[in-house]
Amino acid sequence: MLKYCLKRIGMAAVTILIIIIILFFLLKLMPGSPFNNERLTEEQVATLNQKYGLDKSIPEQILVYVKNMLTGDFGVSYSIQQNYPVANLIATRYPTTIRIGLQAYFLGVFLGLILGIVAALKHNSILDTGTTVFAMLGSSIPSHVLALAFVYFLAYKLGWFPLTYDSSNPFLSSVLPTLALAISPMATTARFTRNEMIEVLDSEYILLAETKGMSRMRVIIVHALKNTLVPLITTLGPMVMMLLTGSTVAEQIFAIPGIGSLFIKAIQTNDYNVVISLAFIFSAMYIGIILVIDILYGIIDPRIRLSGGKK
Amino acid sequence: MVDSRYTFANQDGIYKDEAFGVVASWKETLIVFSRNKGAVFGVIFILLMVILAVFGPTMNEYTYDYVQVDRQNMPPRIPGLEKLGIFDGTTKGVDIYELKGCKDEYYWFGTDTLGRDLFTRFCQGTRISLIVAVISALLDLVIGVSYGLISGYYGGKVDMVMQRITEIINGIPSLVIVSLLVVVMSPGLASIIVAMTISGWIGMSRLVRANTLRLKASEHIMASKTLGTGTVKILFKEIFPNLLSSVIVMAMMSVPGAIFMESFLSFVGLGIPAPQASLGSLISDGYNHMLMYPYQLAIPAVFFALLMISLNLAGDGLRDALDPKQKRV
Repeated sequence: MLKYCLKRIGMAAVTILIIIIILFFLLKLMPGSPFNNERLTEEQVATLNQKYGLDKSIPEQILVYVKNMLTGDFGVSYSIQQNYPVANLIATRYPTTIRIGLQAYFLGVFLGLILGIVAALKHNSILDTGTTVFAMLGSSIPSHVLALAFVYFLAYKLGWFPLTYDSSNPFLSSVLPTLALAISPMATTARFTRNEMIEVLDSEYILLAETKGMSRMRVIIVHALKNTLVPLITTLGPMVMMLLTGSTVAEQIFAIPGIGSLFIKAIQTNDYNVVISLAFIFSAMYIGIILVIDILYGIIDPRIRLSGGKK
Repeated sequence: MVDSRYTFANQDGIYKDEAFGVVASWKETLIVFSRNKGAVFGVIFILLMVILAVFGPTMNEYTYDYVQVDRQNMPPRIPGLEKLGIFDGTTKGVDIYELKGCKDEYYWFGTDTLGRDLFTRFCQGTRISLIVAVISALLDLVIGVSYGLISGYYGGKVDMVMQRITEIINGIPSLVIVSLLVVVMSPGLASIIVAMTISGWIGMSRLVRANTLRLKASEHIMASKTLGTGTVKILFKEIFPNLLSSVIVMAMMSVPGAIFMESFLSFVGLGIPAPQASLGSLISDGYNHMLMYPYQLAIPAVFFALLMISLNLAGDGLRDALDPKQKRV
């Protein structure tokens, strides 16, 4: 188990390192200098160059860059808030994104699980067909189209929710973005749970449990559900990815002051340092989550760690 | 042709098995596929979109980039349907076409804020989105299949190194790869396709590698090897045909993903540059004037959603028909 964990952690660390190096070269490729303030004297530029190690050779620069990135020193913003540290810019917006992402994720998975279980138990009923249709629609329609529909009908036409994010009322104004983002994980979870559950309910150990005289409820919760949940972990990774992409657009539509809308703004205003820093944050978040999922999966399913992590 | 010199010995006893007759495998696929109502709907809608994409831009006299300053934000008006009270060119009871004195003109989907005909732009946008999706799916296929075949067939150190590379690329969110690459290469059709391919081929290569690993131990490959067949020939003539159905399904499944990614890029401002249109850029243009002119957003958004649903339905149907072993996710 320890070997498996160490291997996963090592792989994640190498990936992060390589990403930082790629980002370093991408930043070099992008137009503009980090210090495009005309009022800076040559001396100041030299000091800044020294601080960020830009007067050294490329390998040394990479070392400095990796160290800076890992310690959270992302440099300063070029245009969004000139010469304001990117780390501060991100730090103030980070919590909102995480909160809405988690809300959407848990709401989606929770409702999806219920829907999936009910559909499996009432296999081949109207409920089951309804779930299948919903799962198809929910996983096909992109979250930004849903978000736009919600804004138009629920916020503009009916006036139930604020049109844009209102930080004085963080709950009510996060309802629509949460819903828009939750549909896709909900659909994926419902579809997956339903299919797994039907397969599990069909297996012999369920028959045995029922023959032993166990109550239906107990069979479902203790035996069926447990074995349904294990493979569900594999859908987590792609789901996080969808959420990441979806939240970027949803934040733009609802004008939520999060890191997703900051990313879009940075791209539109050519604030490359912010773009690169956020790319690093997104990647680090993603790799962290994947790492946790892999290790969790290794703990739960011994076959995975024995085969060396190959699924 | 039966030679007349020879006859069947027991002519009456020969009969064709009607109940369990032999059916060609492609025919069987077609039968299974056509029984799936969702998939058939999907294919019909996709065909409709393809027809619009091919012929749409030339179906009326406007072009996608023709700017008319005096025809801004015209509501949609379709001959025939206007008598039913929908698509009749009125907003809030006011006939805009009468107001502007152009009762003889028809803008089927209306016009945008620059007075460009939205129907033509919609068809042009569908064309661009489909081109992006199909080319990147094909590139994913070519790269993914070759990579997966080589990695799986050679195994050992080659496989180890190749797998570490895919793991690293897979570790970076595609959102990050695609948007950064497009920023560096500056937005355009080619850079969008290249960026999407760089993050997109991994799934295909994994599928092909896993199947190659399984197949290379089988006896027909061993026989082929013993007879001295070259590696390239084994890979593409012996192994690849066995993977064909799962590869087709996988490629089909990657098309909606590519269309989604393109629309995402348009929303971020990294899509196809104006005046060119794509489904994504039409939606993001429409979004800017959503409250004033909802039709500018609603029409492309509804078609976009329907196209995504159809592609997924058709993909699911194709998977069930071609590759029933592949697990649903």
